[in-house]
Amino acid sequence: MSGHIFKNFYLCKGNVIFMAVMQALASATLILVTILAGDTLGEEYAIMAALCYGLVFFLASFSNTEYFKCDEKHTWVSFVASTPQAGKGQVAGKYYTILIINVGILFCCFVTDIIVTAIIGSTSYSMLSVLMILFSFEMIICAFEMVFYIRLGSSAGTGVKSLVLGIFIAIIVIYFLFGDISFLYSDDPLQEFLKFLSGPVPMWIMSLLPFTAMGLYAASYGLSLKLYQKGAENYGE
Amino acid sequence: MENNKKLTIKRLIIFLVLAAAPLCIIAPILNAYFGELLFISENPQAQTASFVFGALGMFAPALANLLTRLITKEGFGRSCLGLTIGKHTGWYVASVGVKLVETALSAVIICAVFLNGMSISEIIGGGDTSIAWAALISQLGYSLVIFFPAFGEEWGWRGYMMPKLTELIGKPAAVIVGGVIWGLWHAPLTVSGHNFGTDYPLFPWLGILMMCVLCVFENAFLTLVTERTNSIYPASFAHMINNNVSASMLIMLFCSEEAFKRLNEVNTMLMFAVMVIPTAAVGIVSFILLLKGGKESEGD
Repeated sequence: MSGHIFKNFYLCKGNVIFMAVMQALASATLILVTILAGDTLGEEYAIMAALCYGLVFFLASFSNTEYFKCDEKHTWVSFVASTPQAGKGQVAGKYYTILIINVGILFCCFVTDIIVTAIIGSTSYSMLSVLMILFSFEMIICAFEMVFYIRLGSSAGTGVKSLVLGIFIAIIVIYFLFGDISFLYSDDPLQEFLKFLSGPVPMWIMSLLPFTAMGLYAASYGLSLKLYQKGAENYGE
Repeated sequence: MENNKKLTIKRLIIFLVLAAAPLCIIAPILNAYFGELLFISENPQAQTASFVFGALGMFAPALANLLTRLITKEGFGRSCLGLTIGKHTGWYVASVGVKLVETALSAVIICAVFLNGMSISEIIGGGDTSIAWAALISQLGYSLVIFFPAFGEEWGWRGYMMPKLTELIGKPAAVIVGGVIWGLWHAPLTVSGHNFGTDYPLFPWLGILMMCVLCVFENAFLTLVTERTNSIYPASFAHMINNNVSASMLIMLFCSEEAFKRLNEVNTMLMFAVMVIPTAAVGIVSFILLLKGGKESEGD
C-alpha cells in the first residue's frame, strides 16, 4: 500500500508542490492580515478566512484528476494486475492519497487558525468549525467524483464532476431567485446569516456533514473496487 | 541484549525530556506574564493564551517522538502511523463507542449522586433537545475531524513511550508507570488550574495525584486500542472525544438550569472523583484484556 501511495505522490509531485505553495500563501495572507489589522480586525476577517481556506480545498479538489490521469495506461493496468494486491491496492492507494492530501490541508489550516487566534488574542474568530464543514464537503465531492474517475477515466470523470457542480450552483442560483433571502437586505447581513445557520435545520445538516462524508467516502471506495476492472479495460482508449 | 536495553533507556529519557520541557518552561512563563494562574484567569487574553497553549502543548509528545527518532537515528519503523481501518473496523468503532458510553455513564452517575432529591423531569428539560442533540453530534464530528491535538499526544505516549516501556519492564508495569508519567506530564497545567481549578484541599498535589490515577486508567484503554489496531488513530479519536465530549458538556446540554446550577456548586475535585468511576471500569477491563493479549502472544 505504501508503495502505491509513494508512487502517487512521486508521479504528481508538481501537483503536491503547487498545493503546498497555495496553502503557504493562504496561511501567510491570513497571518499577515491579522498582524497588520491589529485592533481594527472586524467580522470581515471571518469571510476572508473562510474564502482563503475554501479556496485551498477547492484547488485540491480540482487537482485530484492528476492522481488518476498518471495511471491511465494499458501497461500500468497490466502491471497493477500482477501485483499482490492487484486492483484493490491501486484503488486503495488513490483513496489514501486523496485522504492524506486533504487531511494535510486541514492540518495546515488548523495550525494557521491557532496562530491567528494567538495573534488576535481572542477565540471569537476561530474558524475550526468552518474547517470541519469545508473538509467534510470536500470529502463528499471526492467520494462522488472518484467513482467516476475509476469507472470512466479522468476526462469523462471531470465532465461528470463539472455537471454535478453545475447542478449544485444552479440550485443555489434558483434559491437566490425564488427563496428567502431577507437576510441580505438587513443592516448586518453577516450576523443575520450566522443567526440563520444557528437554527435547528442548518445546525442538524452541519452536524451530520462529517458523518455523511465518512460514510460516503467508505461507500465510494467499496463501489470503486467493484467498478475498477471494468474501468481499467477502457483506460488509454 | 544489554546494549539494546541501554539504547532503549537512552531513547526513552531523551523522549521524556523533550516531551516535558515545553510545558515545564512555558507554563510558568505564561503564569508570570499574566500575573495569575492561566486556566482560572478571567482575563480574555489569558483565556486565549490558555486555549492556544493547550492546543499546541498537546503536540509536544509527537514532536518529542519525531525528534528522538531523528536524534538517535532510530528510523520510523513501528511508528503506528498506518490507517488500519479496513482490518480493524470493530476496534475503530469501539474506541469511539466506548468513550461515548463512558461519558454518558459519568453524566448519569454525577446526576444520581449530586442531584438526589430532584426528579428526572426536574433534572432533564427546559431547553430545546433537538438543538442539544445537534450540538452533541456536531461536537462528536468535530472531534473526529479536528483530531490533531489528540494525535499529538497519542503519537508520543502510545506510539513511542508505551512500546519502549513494555520492552523494558513488561506490559502490566508499563501501563501503570506510563499512566503515571503521562499524569505527571500534565502537572504544569494542573498547577496552572487546569481541570480542577485551585479550590480543593492540598492544591496542587491532590490534583496531580488525581490526574495520575485518571491517566493510568485512560492509558490502559488507549494502549489496548493502539496495540490491537497497530495504529495511533483510534486512540487519537477516543482521546479527542474524551477531551471535547465531556460529562459536564452533556450536563450543560441536557440538564435543566436548576440542575446545572446545583452541580456548579459541587467541588470540582469531588465531582471528578465520581466522574472517574466509568473510566476506572473501562481501564480495569482494558488492563485485563491487555494482559490476556500479552499471554496469548507469549503462547504463540
